[in-house]
This record gives sequence, structure tokens and C-alpha cells, in this order.
Amino acid sequence: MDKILLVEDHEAQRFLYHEELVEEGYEVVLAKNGLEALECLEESRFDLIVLDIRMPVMDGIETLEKIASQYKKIPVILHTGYAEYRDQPIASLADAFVLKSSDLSPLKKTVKELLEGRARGKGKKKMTKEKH
Amino acid sequence: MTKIRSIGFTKEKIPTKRCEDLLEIARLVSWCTDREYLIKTCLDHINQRLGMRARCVLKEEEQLKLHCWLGNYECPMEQVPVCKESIVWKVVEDGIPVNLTETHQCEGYRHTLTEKVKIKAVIPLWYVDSMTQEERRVGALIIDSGKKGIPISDEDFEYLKLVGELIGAAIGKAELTEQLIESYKRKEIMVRETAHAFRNRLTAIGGFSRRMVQLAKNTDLAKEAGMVYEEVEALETQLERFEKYTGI
Repeated sequence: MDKILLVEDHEAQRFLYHEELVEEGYEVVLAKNGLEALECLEESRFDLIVLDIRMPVMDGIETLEKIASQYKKIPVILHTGYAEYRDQPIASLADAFVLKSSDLSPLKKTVKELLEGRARGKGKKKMTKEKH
Repeated sequence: MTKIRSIGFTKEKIPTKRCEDLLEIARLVSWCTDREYLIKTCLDHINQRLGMRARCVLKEEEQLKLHCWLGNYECPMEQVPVCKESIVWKVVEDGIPVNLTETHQCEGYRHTLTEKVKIKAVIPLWYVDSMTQEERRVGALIIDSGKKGIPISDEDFEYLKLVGELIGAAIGKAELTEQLIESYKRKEIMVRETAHAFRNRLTAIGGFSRRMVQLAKNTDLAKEAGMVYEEVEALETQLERFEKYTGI
């Protein structure tokens, strides 16, 4: 079973994404901010990370920089309500960018694609600017 | 509220050469928003064209401090605030230019330094705040002829008054520009944060209502949850348009 690390500070959204991804058949571990995410990464192995950007304690940008240098092989999806991050250089460190929406199918589709790519042994994909 | 004054000058008192100078300064005022650069350039004009010694004091909180000093002599009062009992403070507070042609005119005032008050012209710098229409007094130009005992002529005094008006207007414009930029930045942040907060909530409400449609299939609850979801979708579209329109 693929294991996803979901990093999200908003409680209701954290619960929602957890439920939806578990129903898709993934094992989901939750973190409230970047610091908690890095602790999780030290303790366990993950197949994919879904990362929010604006968070307290440690934001998604700083977290992404650390993940990109220490956990290069784990694909990362930037999942945010701020569309402007899509075109920022930092976003190129991630494998995909998904804009938050009440329709979760774009997120689920991207998760599936990246995990399938990883399973096929393609390793990390280049950043795909999802139009979701 | 202070009444707005008109720039009181008579054109015939300003000779052609001075008019050209003033036009040049006015041109500078029209595009330059850098207060320091503008003041220095204007004082340079005074210094070079009239051979006068010129300096500028500006208000900083409750003090009046020297900002610009031109002429071939050492500045004796770097960082020293202007004395409250000086004629310079009086001019700044009253907003009326004075031309001290006789030493007795300085009686009753104190000099910031220990020496006596000298013959000079003191021109207030002021502007009308575009937001409040109030007159703001921001400082003064202090000019002397550079020749001991020789006062500034009426003609030069008229010229200096106009230069003072133009510098004041430029300071006003620079401060207004600064205020507008600050205000725009604050509003932009506020709009971005608000849009983000709305999106976060809509994502949660919409996501949960979609789940309820699935979990309570074929029930009244599912129908009502579906209606909630449709409303959220409409709001998300509206929010997207808002973000595009505001350029955030």
C-alpha cells in the first residue's frame, strides 16, 4: 500500500483529504506543518508528499527546500490556494502543482499518476504545471 | 483646518533668466519623487546661479534638522536640531517667508549656534495634503548672499519664494506617492489573505458536501448536500473571477 504524507494546517481540510485518500486505498499520515512533516520523514518511509504552502511554524517553501535536498526520490505535490506560487521558481522543486478546490478529483488524479510513475520505476518526474 | 494659500508672486518681478530657472525646477518637480535629490538639485541652482549659500531644514517628528548644505564652507551644525526660539522655527510655524535685510530684525530670536543671527532669507516649505486639503509645513530653506553684511535683493527673494513653493509641492507629491504605494501594498495583502481564507473554507465545505452526496446516496440529505455543493461551486467560480480581476 502506498504511503502518503499529507502536510496541511487547516484542520477540516486535513480531515477531508485524509478521508478521501484513505478511501482511494492509500495509507495517509498527517502533519500540521513543515516541521512535523520533517519529523515524520525521519521516522518513516513515504511514497509521496502532499504539501500545503502557507502554514505556521515552518511553511511549505522552506519544507520543500529541505525535502528537495534530503529526500530527493519522494515526489511532492504542492497543494495550495495561492495560484501565484505556480509560476514561482520554488515550485519547480515540486513534481506537481494542484490548486485547492472543493473538487478533489484533480488532486486524486495527480496522486495516482505520480505513484504509478514511481511504481514503473521512472523515479521523480519533472514539475508538471497542472491546470487543476 | 488651515486655509489654502495661493502662490503670491508677480510675474513682472521675475526676470527671464529666473523664469527659465524656475521652469527647469518645475520640470524636475513634475517627474522627480526623490525628495532628497530634488532638494539638493534646487539648492545647487540657487548656489550656482545666484552665488548664494543655501541649506535646507526639514521637520523630523518634533525637531527641525538640517538636511542639505551647499556652498564652499564647512557645515557647523551637522545633526544639531534647530533651536526652538530661532527665527527659522518661527518661519516654519507661521509659513511666511522672511527676508532679513537688517540685523535688528533678528532681535528677540536665538541662533542655534552661539553666534549672532545673520542677515538671510528664510523660506518656509509647505504643501497642501491632497487627502485632507490641509497645509503641511515641512521645513525651510535658509539662504544668505555669502557676502558679509549684504542682504538678499527683493528680486532674488521673489525667486527664492517660488523655488520654495516648488520644493514644497514636490515634497507633497513625493509623500503622497509614498502613502499611496503603502496603502496599495496593505490592501493587496489584505485582499490576498481574504481570498485565501475564502478558498480554504470553500474547499472544506464543498469537499464535505460532495462526500455527503456520496455517503447518503438516494436520500433527502444527499439532495440537500448536492445543493450546498452547487452553491460552493458558484462561489469558487466567483472567487476565481475576483482573483483574476484584482490580479492576485
